[in-house]
Amino acid sequence: MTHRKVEADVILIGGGITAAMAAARLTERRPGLRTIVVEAGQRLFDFENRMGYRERYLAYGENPWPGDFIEDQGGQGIISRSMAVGGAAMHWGGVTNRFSREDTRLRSLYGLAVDWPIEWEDLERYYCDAERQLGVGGEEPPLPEDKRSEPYPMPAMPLSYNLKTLKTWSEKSGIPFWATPAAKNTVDGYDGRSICKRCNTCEVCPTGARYSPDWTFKKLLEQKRIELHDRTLVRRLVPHDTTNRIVRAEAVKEDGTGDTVTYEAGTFLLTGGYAWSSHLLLLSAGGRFPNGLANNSGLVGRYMTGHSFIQVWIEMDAQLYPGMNDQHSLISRQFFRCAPSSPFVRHDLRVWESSLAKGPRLKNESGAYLFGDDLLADWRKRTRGRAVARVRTYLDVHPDRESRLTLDRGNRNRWGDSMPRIEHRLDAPTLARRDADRTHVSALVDRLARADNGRVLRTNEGDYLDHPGGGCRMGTDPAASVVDSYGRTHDHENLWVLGSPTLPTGGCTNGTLTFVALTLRSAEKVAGAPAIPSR
Amino acid sequence: MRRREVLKLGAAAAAVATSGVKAQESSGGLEGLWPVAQAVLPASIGADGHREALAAFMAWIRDHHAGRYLDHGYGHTRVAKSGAAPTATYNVQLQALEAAARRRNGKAFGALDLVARRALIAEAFAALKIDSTEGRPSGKHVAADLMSHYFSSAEANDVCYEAEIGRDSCRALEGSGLRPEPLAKGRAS
Repeated sequence: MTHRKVEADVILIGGGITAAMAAARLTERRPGLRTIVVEAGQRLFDFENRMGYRERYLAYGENPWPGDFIEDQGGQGIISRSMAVGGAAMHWGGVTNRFSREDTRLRSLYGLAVDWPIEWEDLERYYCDAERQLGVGGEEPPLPEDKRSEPYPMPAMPLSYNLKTLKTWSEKSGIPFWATPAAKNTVDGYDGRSICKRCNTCEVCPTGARYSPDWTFKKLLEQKRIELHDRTLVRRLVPHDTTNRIVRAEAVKEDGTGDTVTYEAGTFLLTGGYAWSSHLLLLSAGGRFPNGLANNSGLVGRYMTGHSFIQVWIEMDAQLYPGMNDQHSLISRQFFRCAPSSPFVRHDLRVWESSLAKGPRLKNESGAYLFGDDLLADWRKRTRGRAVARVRTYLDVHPDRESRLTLDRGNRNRWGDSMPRIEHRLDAPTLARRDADRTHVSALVDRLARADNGRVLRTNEGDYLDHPGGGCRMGTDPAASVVDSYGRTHDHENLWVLGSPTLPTGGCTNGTLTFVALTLRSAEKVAGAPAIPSR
Repeated sequence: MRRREVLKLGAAAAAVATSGVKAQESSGGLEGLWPVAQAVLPASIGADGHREALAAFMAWIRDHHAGRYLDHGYGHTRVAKSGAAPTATYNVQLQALEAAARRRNGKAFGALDLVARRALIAEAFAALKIDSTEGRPSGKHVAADLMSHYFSSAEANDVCYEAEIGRDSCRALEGSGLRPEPLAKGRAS
């Protein structure tokens, strides 16, 4: 085993989409900085093999991203095992909805949760920026509240025949629907990537049409703007003996050698996402910081957030042909707003084609086995003229202080470090309105199902919070937050937390675009900060 | 998969892919799989359709690799590896069908009419509590796996909907909004 010391200007810890965006913006603004991205997992840059991985995934259910996780680097309550360069955004669906102004003013408008320490107009500008970076196509929003300051970089993903059919059906309810914006090329060559080929497997896009961070990392490496130290797990951040500055990060190689590395830098950016950023701060407890770093408020790992969801499958009179780009969906933003005088309920509303109850079956209603043409005839009969839509709402729910990431002493990795354990808890006002939320969604579903002889087949309430964030929430008060609106920790001038951990609340739609917008804003602030010597 | 099993079923796959139907019916190399295919796959896709479905299934078996990490999912994650190829079990199950046919009907399984074959397969399914086709073969029973493999395919989806859907095929964005073309002549009856 060997040990080496590496000096840099900026160290980014965690190599997912947040790191990709931050590194790109930072090195664009400050090209002379020595910037190193340190990632525990490996790089998955073998784009040429992706079609083959996709085939194995479809045929055998094999991991379409071989080697994208570390077996002993997981934890309870974490919704993705992905730990690789690119992170979970290697296999995301590319959905890039914006939050709305209401998300940033929950306290002012409704007396709920907290306000974000950022103006909507400021965030909106970075949404446009994020959409350019990721390559987003979308429809211009018809609702005045969703007004954009710039057009989408690309046209919207065209609606498939099935979605056009479902749009006709769903709008009979009086609720307007649009194509969901997505970071998938609808123009060939945008950012050097291919146009979407509707391969139906966005989780492993074989053409590169859907944005994934490997595109950004490869460019940054080719242009020698960053160094990428993959298979390197940062285990501790170490503060200065007498000041609050962070002076180094201690890491170990995950390449089987057990070699150790000390990174000394002027600035440290935590870009490891909602789980691993808080985790590292807590894991770095010791000496003058017995509760972990950046944790004078006691809030590191608290207010873990996300949104709950309810899904409903509705059968109606229609003819669909499942399998024609079925990962694309409709969205309505009609319910992002809630009049302050009304009972609080906010959510998005999405519609997909579905094959539920429309697949081949082995037994008929009387329990007799079906074979050959009898099975085929039964299948055909059930798919002729009746189709199924999956309708899902992401509900705006708010975390309690006890919604926590903690260190699980009973679950340690090979290096002896406790792994994270996440237990989401909703705050009292959210719990108090849960029944009203369900009643509201049920009424909406009934409204949708009234058209075309609709019938609810199944309802399912999610048992986890999707698109999680939090753990290092932003705010202006150091006693009530971990970082400022740019992600700089209140306690350590050269330590920043970027992206999803900084969200005080999780909104009511997919979070990645918001994580990226906040990251770009943070990166500009980091770039504008005076250079800090590494020692 | 063990080498001998590969050879046994691999020979069957090769025979299916290259020989005529008559030859298949008399071929001892199939070890009972061909008459199973005739019993569980739609007659309407024809002998060529059966041959293609069986060849695809054999290719699936041949290319199965044990010990590969499976997709670890999202939301509720799990780390798991693929199990051994079910070939050995398949051969035992095919032999069991053959033995049952001779015991019950005094004939080889392949010599029974489709109704009798299906009755024996249904009994085997019932004994194993197999109630549904799955998204991909699960190893419970060779006949159920052949059915799962075929009926979950893009080919069968097209046949069911009688349309050129081409699920999981990559194609241009252009034309997204159009209803798929009717199934090409000769792809089904």
